[in-house]
Amino acid sequence: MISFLELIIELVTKYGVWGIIVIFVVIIIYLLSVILDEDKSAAWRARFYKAVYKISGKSEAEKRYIENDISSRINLARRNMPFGKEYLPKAIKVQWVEGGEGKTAQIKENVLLIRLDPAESQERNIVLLANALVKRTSLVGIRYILEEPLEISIDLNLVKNLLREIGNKKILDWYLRNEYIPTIDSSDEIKKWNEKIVEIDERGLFTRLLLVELDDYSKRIAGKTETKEMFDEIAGLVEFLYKISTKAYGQDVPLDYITKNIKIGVILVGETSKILLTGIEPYLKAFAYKTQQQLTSIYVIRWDKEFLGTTDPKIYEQFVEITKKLDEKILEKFRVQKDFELKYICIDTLGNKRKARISRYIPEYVSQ
Amino acid sequence: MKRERAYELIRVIYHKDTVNFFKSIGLFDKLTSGEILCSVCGEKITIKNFRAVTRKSGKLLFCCDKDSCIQEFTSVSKGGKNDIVSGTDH
Repeated sequence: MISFLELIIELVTKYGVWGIIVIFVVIIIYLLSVILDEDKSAAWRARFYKAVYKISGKSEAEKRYIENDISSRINLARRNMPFGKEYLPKAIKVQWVEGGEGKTAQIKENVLLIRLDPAESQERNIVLLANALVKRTSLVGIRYILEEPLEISIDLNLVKNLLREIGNKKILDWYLRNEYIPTIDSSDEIKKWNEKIVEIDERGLFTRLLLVELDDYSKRIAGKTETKEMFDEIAGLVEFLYKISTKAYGQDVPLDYITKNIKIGVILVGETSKILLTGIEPYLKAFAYKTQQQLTSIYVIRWDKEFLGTTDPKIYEQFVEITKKLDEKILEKFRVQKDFELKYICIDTLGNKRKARISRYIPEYVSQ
Repeated sequence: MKRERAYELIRVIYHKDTVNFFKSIGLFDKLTSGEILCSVCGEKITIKNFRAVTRKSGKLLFCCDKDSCIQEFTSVSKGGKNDIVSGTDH
C-alpha cells in the first residue's frame, strides 16, 4: 500500500498533470473491470452493505451483505479451480425466500431452502453454501454408484479446495475444525479414502484428472442401473491415480487403466534428466502404444524438477523446449485432439513444490 | 477456458424471517407443538435449530442445524441414494 502511494506521489511530482491523467485512466480501467465483472462488483457491494449494516443495523443491509459476500467469495474462488476446460463447481446464486406475513412461501420438489445465520457468523454461512453447492453440482450422475466413504472424501476435499481458494484463513479454519477433521475422524473408511484423495490432490490430479474422468464416466453410464462393477471401476481409478501420485523415484507403477467404462493412459515426464538424455522418442513410442490400446483419453503430465529454473536456467530452458516439442510431435504424428492443457504448482512426495503441466489428448477414434 | 455461466440457485431464509416462513407454509403450529422432526436424526425442529427444508416425493423434509445432518441432507435433497422417508405432508 505504501509503495503504491509512493508511486502515485512520484508520478504526480515527476510528470505533473500527465501523471494525474495516467492515475485517472488507471482508476477508470480498474473501475470498468470491476463493473463488468459481476463477481468483483458483488465483492464491492458486499463491502458497502457491510458498512451500512454496521452503522444502521438494518436487516435489509444485512441481507444484501450476506448475499453479495457469499456470491462473490465462492464465485471468485471457483474461477481458480480448473476442471478440465471448465470451472468447478457451478457458480452460485443466492436468493432470499420472502416469507413475510401474509405471503406464502412455495417449496418445490427437490429445491433446497437453507436458513442462514446472522452476518456475524458469515464464515458458517459460506461453509454451509459451499457444501451445498459442491454436493448439488459435482459428481452429478454417479453419486448413486459411489459408496458413502469415497463420496464423502471427494466432497470434503472439493469443499476444502473451494474454501482455500477464497483465501480467508478464518473460513478455512472453521471448516477444517468443525467439519473436515471431525468427519474424517468419524470413520476408518473415510480416513482411508481421504488419504488417497489428498495425495492425488497434492499432485494436482484431483480436479484436473480424477473429476474430469468421473464426469466423462457419468455420461457413459447415463441411464444404466447401479452395479458393484461400476463402483469397483471408480474405486480402481482412485487407486490407479493414488499409485501414480505416491510413486517413488525410479519406481514402476501401472500407467494405463482399462476397464469396461474407463480406458485411460498416463505418460509421466517426471525425471528431467531422462527426457534431456533420451529425447522425446521413448515418450512418442509410449503414446503410440496407448493409442493402439484404444484408450479414450491420454494424459501427459510434466513435473519440473524443483527450482530447476533458478539453479540451472539453461537446463530448465532445454526442459521446457523439449516438452513443448513433445506436445507438437504428438499433435503432428497422431490423430488426436488436445482437450486441454493446464499449468499448476504441486507438492511432490517429498514435500517439495514443483511446477507442473497436464495435457489431455482425446484420440479421434473416440469422437468418431 | 469456457466462460459460460451456469448457476446453481440456492434459496436461503433470513434468520429473522424463520417464524414468518413457518407461518407462510402453514406449519407454525406444528413447529411450536414439536411435531416437526429432523428427517436425518429425528430431533425436534425448533425456531432455534431449524437449518433447512426441501420437498421430496411431495413430502416436506426438515433438517436441524447439526453439521452431520446438514451434510447428509444437502446430498439427499438433490436425489441422493440414501432415501429419507419420514416427512411432513403439506
